[in-house]
Amino acid sequence: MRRASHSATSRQVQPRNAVLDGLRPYTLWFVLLLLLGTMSLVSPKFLTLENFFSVFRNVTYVAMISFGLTFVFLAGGFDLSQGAVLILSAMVINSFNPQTPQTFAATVALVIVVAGGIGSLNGFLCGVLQLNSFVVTLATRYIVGGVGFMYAAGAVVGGAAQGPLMEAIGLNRLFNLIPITTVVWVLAGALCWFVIQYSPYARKITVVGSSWRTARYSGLRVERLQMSTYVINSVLAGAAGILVACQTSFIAPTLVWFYDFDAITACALGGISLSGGKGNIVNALCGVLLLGFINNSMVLLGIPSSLQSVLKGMILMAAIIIDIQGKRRRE
Amino acid sequence: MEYLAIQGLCKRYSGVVALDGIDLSFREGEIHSIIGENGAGKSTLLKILAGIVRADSGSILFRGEEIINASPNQLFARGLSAAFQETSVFDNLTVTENLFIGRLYDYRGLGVSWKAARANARRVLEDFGVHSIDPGARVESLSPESKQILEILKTVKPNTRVLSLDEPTASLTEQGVKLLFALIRALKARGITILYVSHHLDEVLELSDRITVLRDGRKVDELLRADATEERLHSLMIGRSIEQSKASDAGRTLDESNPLLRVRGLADGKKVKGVSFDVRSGEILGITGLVGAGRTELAQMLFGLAPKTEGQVIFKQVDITRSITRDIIRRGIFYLPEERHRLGLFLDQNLMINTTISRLKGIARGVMLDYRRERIRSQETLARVGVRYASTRQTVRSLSGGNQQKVLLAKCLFAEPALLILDEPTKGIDVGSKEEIYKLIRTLVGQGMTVIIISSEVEEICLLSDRVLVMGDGKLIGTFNRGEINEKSIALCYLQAGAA
Repeated sequence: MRRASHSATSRQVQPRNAVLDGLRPYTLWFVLLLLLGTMSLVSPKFLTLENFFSVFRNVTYVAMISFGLTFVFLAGGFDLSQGAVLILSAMVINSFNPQTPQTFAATVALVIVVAGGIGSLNGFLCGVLQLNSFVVTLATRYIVGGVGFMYAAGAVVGGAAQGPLMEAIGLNRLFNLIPITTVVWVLAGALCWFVIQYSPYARKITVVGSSWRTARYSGLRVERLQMSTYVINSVLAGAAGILVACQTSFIAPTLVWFYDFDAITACALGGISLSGGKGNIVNALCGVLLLGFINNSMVLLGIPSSLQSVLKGMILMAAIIIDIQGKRRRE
Repeated sequence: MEYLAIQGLCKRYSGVVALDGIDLSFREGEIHSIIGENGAGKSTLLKILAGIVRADSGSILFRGEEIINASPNQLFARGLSAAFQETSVFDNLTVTENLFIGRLYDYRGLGVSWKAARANARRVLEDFGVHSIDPGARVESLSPESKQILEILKTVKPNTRVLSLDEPTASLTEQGVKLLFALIRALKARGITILYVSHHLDEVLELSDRITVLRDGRKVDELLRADATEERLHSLMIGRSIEQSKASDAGRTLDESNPLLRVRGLADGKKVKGVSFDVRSGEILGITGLVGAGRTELAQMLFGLAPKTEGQVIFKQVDITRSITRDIIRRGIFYLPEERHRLGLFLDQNLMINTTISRLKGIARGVMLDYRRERIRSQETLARVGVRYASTRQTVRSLSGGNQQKVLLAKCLFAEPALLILDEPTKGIDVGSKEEIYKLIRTLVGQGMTVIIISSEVEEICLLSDRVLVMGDGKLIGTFNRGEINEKSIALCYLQAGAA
């Protein structure tokens, strides 16, 4: 031991290519720009305000859930139940079909409480009891989805004339341009961004996702922190359900399958680590926009929906491969 | 021609010398013990012989054939097997399945013939005089003794010529040790060479034909059993003089009447069996003992990480027996865990995050984190412990072991504790960093901090401590005050406890 070298104490990182490495976090934004550029050349309808805002309107629910999922993923968890929560919330809203602002507010409160309750259940099982989050939330997804079916009695919920407030949220545009739902998700995103960027809470869940053992040894209450992320996610899914209900007056319980995985796809695309400890709202937003514009482009190009699904899967696979390669290089 | 000859074997782990040019030779059919303190290089030697760790240089000749850095399978094929400290038996499989793992196809017709396999397993067990294990039993239902025996039998193949055993008695009771020794003698009777690594000198003396003593990665001596006594082996193992200065001692007076921490009858119902002691403000209290004596468990209980079944912990006159870790940190205790990668650091997060997580209040402004303050404060703290780094934004993973350990210390200091509990603070780091950490600990104590240092390295304990507690089997078995601290008596104290 006495001959141990003193020079080996400091092994510093020498990036092979500083410029490329510096740009790495922005890779996906370049991909998005590339997509936008190509599409505006290919399709005359693409580069119009109308089309852009229709994309921003269509991504509403993906965006809301991705923001919530960001918290769950940061803390090293996983949630599959948000699609079911969204549909259940949307159905509850539409079945009550509130006409006045007061009844609307009351229904929204009810939805948020129900969603929060489902999130607490997920959080309790995954965070406090430390059960496998994949299986737990798969189970809640079946349960909540099933309750949705029962609630709808197998049919479609809604169809009656919506109250003025809901109609306004669903159809109106700020300055006759920006859909209200877009404004809502952008504001929600800004709030989440602020929380993740600056709150001690977000710092805590990030390190929990990095290593929950180390977090415990640092005095953090790991169980509660993990649990809280599921609550946040469910509440945002519930809020997304409210917006979806305002946008569309018909909610079929089978739509669960449709809403299930898009937000997870968006987060993965955006580069949020599914194993925890890495990611922010900007990642989620990038994934959301990428996914939204990919969908939009495929529609504009007239690609049949079956092929759309194949392409989406391939894009997701490519994103994961790129992500893993980046990680391996860093190690 | 020598049977198994090792020449000039060297191994470094990222700058730390584990083996420093070792020459050894083994004869056919002997039991050859290798002893030494923690970190002497015993385990590394065995791992190289098993093909698990690659040597940097040197040669290993087995019956005249060069086998250094051969793959584990090549070594198996030549008849060299090894059983390690942690058992690698599969709990969810049966004894038979474990014994023949990887070789079940020998019994394949269309599928595995379990009847034939079990009969075969029974034959193997009885061959070695092991009648107490049912070949059909699931391993999880076996006692630790039976598991250890299975672990060894699993590695003994029909062609085995050399068998390495690393601390096989670590988890055994007296009864189990007897069984194990009978097995080892049965193996020897078949002409198998046994390399036996152990802390327990009485076992070594009972079993061995020859004994090699390692210290700091070098061979100190090789003795025939007839020439060895426990005393002699002790002095060979420890060897060093401990004339090193304890400069910071002078001028520090300890308040005897009013202890900072008072621990009474602490027990967890498992590893810790009623421990009482006081820690006086401003002292360095060393706690040592064999691995498994309950030192880490004790520290974890003090830090609110492990449940306590009995006892009381009073810190600054406040009962913190039932407090959660967060509140214990706020009261002024911080714990540096032994496993720095698994429990101490967030490897993929940057240096700032790792440093400031211990007290986020220190970098908050209102409800928000203040990044400027975080950068400045973490730079200050990292400089205080002497971390060498390029940017506070680089990940901890990108640092060397010694620097990682310093980041962990920075995290501890950022919490501004009054009492710092250090669990093996210099484990696996190079000599240079070690000395820096010693210096830092002395400085901290000079500034009024109180430190409990838990270490298996008696040298380290003696160098730093004002008072030393020795733990054995979950209890305090010795206390050494300032004048009485020397390596020999402390090592004797815990080794005797281990032997008892």
